Amino acid sequence: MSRKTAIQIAAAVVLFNVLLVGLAIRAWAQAATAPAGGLTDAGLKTVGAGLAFLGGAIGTGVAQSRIIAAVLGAVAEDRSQLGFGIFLMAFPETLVILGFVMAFILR
Amino acid sequence: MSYEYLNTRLHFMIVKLLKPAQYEQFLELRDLGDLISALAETDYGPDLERHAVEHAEYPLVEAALMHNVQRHFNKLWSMAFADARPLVRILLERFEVFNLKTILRGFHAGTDPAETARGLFPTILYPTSFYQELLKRDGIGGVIDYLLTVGNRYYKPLAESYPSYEANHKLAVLESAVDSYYFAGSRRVLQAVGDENAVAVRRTLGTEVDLLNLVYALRVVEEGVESEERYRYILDGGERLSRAFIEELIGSPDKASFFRKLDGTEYASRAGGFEDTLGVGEFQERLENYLYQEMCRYDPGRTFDIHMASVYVWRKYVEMTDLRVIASGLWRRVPREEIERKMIWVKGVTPERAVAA
Repeated sequence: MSRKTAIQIAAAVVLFNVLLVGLAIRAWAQAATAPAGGLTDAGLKTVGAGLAFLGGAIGTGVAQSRIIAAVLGAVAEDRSQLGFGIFLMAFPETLVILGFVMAFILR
Repeated sequence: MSYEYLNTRLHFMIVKLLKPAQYEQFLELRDLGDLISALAETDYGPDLERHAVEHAEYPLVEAALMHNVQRHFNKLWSMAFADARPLVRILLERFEVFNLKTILRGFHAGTDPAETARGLFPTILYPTSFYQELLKRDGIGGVIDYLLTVGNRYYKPLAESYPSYEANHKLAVLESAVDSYYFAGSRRVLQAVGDENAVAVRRTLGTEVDLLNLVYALRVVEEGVESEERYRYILDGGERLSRAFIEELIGSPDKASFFRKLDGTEYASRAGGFEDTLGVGEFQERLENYLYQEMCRYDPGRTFDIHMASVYVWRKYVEMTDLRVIASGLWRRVPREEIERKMIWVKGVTPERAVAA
């Protein structure tokens, strides 16, 4: 039961990430309507913004993959660890948010 | 990697192991009934409750201890998946080898099978009924036949060395065959895994090989064996001592020379040096004590590798052995000093005071 709850939480976190990435891609696709003839300053900025976001997202993914496994283990042993576990799982989200903010500034 | 999940759960399991203060409390108890009541308040409570209808007094404690260890080892086994599983298997198989050797030793010495059964350690890779069946055999030959019947892989080394055992009646022949087979098989698996965790397990096994070789070498020197046969039972795969060094030790003319050669090694310095008059029994005890200290020592810097599983398995072994000694001592009303003398003392696991004693 406790493991199932933890899996549901992990799935919700992943879904949140997917939504975030989806929104970002949509925004950039609208902005990056580059004129025919090559890279422009606006285009390069968009690539930079994408990389900033990508770095944050990869960092979050790497950290969360390990943290979620550990939290699942902790919750399987002691259900009272769930609250702290959720905090730990959510903590790496700060990385992707920072990446998002940086991408926004670059735009 | 699977170690985040496994090690977080193991951390909780390590926390649930008995604390030094609890050992202290158990040693101060006056009889077995008090110990059963005290154990009922620990992680052993459900196991005692489960067997309380069937057993009483010492057999109850024994059944509860066996069940508890098997329950936890089964849990460890089910938690260890992917890369961790073959390594955990190697760690747990050590106890199957220990049990096989105990049974062989029992038949060799003509010990009552019930007495031999009391020396067996709870295991999960082979069922308890397997050992019960082995103990029903009429001798070592019967044990080997039974291993063949059930398709147990230890049939092979034992069948190969049995003619030699029959000729000279030396138990070392069979023990060495079982050990060699286990260590060689484990090394093959570790080589196939090939990561840093496999290296850590190989080091653990290598240390055990070194200690087994040292005890064997001193026994050869003490008994004054001269034939070339003495070099045959050296185990390969030592961590710090090469085969050539062990051969050199075996070639020592006397114990003084043996210990002089051993002086420069890490084992001598970590065990606090060895006196020339030391007998094999005392020497083995000191080396085993060194092994327990090494294997039970938890390195907090190694949170995400096989180290924690290894530490857990060894600490559980120490806990089970010590509880057996205390329960059996209280049951037979043995003086506390005697119980303490037979216990395994590990720094950080058992009371500090006794480690120095």
